[in-house]
Amino acid sequence: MTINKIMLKMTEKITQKVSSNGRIVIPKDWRDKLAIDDKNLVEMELKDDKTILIKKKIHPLEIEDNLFEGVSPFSEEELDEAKKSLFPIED
Amino acid sequence: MTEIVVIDAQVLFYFHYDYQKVPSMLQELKKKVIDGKITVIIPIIAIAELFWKMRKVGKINVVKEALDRWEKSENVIIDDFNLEIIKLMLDNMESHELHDEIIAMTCKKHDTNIIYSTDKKFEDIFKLQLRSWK
Repeated sequence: MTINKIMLKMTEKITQKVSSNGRIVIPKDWRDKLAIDDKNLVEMELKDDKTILIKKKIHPLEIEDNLFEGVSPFSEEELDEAKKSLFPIED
Repeated sequence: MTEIVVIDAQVLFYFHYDYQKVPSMLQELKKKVIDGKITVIIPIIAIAELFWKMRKVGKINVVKEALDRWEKSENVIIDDFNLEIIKLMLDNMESHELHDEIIAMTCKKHDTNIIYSTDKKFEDIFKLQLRSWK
């Protein structure tokens, strides 16, 4: 299967009438797939004056990619050393 | 009403650590920040401490990424060590460890007495409400 075919398979399309004040409805199964509920925000992007892209707004702290992988949390000794590094004091 | 709290370098670390290994109190804190129920104040010296630790193990790039995320995060305020904090320190007659005093005065600057840390000195010396996960 070529990449084009895979992309085509992942794209879903619907046609919808826009209300007089510009409202549209995100289909429920799409909202469910993206875990969008009534508390979430979405970002809208206008691309090349042609396409509107809607994305679920993600808080940067929601990204669970274990950024500090391979490093251990601070030990007491490390905290002391870090403090001394900021403001050296004699023991 | 949104609660305002100050966090130390350990909490900053746990914000980007393996979620399953993060203490439940800090998992809850993170969730509340994301949901807008808590605003966290990050003292700039807490970032310096984390930077010191990560540079030792050659992981400066991940600090860059973390810093970028904090700057873009709603309900996260990075607070400078500045003249206002020095002026608050002028009210302290006794000599304290500067690091702890700056963090404690950061609480005062933002009109909160809640600090997420495991350091009991914040409670004993500065009479702050310590939220410790240990």
